[in-house]
Amino acid sequence: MAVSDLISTVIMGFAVAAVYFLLSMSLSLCFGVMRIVSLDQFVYYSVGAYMTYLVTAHQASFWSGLLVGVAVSCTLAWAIEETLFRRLYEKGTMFSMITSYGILLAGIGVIKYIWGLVPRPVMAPITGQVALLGTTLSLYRFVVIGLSALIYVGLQLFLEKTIVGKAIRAGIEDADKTEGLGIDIYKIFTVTFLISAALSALAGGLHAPLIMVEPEMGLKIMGTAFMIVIIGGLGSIKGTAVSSLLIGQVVAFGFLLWAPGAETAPFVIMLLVFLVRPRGLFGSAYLKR
Amino acid sequence: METRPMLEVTNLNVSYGQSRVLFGVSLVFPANEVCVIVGRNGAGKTTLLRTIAGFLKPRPGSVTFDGQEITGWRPYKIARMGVKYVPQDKGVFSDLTVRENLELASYAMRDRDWEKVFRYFPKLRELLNRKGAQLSGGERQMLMIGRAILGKTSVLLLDEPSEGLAPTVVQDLVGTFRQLRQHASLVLVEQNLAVARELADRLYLTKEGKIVAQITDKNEIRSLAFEKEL
Ligand SMILES: Nc1ncnc2c1ncn2[C@@H]1O[C@H](COP(=O)(O)OP(=O)(O)OP(=O)(O)O)[C@@H](O)[C@H]1O
Ligand SMILES: [Mg+2]
Repeated sequence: MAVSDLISTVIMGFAVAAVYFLLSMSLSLCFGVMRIVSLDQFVYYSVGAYMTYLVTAHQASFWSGLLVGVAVSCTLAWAIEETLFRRLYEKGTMFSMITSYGILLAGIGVIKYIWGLVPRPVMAPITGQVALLGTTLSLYRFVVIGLSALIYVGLQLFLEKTIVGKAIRAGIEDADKTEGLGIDIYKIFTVTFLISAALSALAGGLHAPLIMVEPEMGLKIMGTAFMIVIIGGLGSIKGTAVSSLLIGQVVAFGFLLWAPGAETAPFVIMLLVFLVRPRGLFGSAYLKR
Repeated sequence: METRPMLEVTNLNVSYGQSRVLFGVSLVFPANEVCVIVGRNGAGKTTLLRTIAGFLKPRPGSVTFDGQEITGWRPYKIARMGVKYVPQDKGVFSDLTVRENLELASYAMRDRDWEKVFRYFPKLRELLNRKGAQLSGGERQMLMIGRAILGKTSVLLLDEPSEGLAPTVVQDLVGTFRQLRQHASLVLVEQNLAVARELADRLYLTKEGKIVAQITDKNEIRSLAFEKEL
């Protein structure tokens, strides 16, 4: 194996990890705070990607496409949270899973209706190349990694320093007790849901130039995203970040070494982690319910 | 002459799924009294307090606070009205510091007067940067009560606060309750009968989801041998 292959695989692994992190974080927050399995996050992921496609196809900038994706996804998420999830929080996890699976299938249907089945390419907003140890790498990958790292830091600060962030952390531990203090927990749920939708949309938008945008892109990434959440430990940002980095590299090297194995490798990692730590890498012992 | 009760529950029936736990429970909690509820494990004491606090819905039944019907209200609204529930499991937020625990209560109740909390529990001042997980049982109980008395507090629903605490810590707690009763009605679920005898103005005995006895005479409570009932 050439050194140049090695470097480009590692960087690709980090870029993919950056996307995985954003998407898995949204699933982890939804489960951690509301105890819902929010499969509709994969709709917001696809919407994020399609909006960058739509906006760049009209010659506007990729970055504005990214923002449009976030805005559209958050609006959609808000409507869904108000009308559907509000009624499901008191019920079991299974209700949210089935309802959100319905939303995901409907979302895919709508996307197919509007844009058809043909995969669409999205131009990277930055076409520059970086020379690194005898190989050239697309600068865009570094941008994705950098942005995701910034969002990680921002999310940490938000949860550690702001009162709403603290309420979200309290809610992850015990939503009833948080409400018992006099906090309207449903408001906290809404904020968490919107943050999640924004993260999913950013994941899709940033991922778009690295892959082809297609109706079933959400289904394709679903398994890996959930494995990352579980490996990292539910409700833990740090855990999700570490497990994204791990799985990003596993997937990238999988493709380099033996492509068919790339899809199953994350499962193997998940099983190995579970043998040693059933709660996941950073899973909290305090999670209730 | 009886004054209007601070809190009143009438014909409360509560079930978990198919299994009924409370059967037509009716109680009054007068203002500035300490009402103690005793009863065996599984009698439904926690269920009763959680229903008053809004976490469980009675079917049927009603809860009235200060003359206003609050049945079916969301728990955060009931807490903001001044009815605070201090849960049984000493569940402070393990991952949050004492300061963050208090900040959340301050934010919810719009009351930043932590000096009031420190008057009752001076020790909390030194523990501000400690995480919930690192607190002892007694310290957790202090934090739970401390964060509950921020903002308007008319009724404190205390679910077995002395459970699992060392005798000296329990004595301190009894002292605190004596002070607290000047400012709020206390509803105390207690298995510790010494504590119950010492504090109760009124005692309710629960059994299998019903109220089987009510004693409002203090001397009778002091002299009562209700151990055999438990
Ligand atoms: N979440 C629940 N789901 C189903 N049944 C429950 C639930 N919580 C309590 N129960 C049942 O309801 C009954 C009353 O429970 P509850 O916790 O109110 O009793 P308690 O008097 O507080 O007991 P303890 O002294 O042990 O705290 C018990 O039989 C218990 O098994
Ligand atoms: Mg109990």
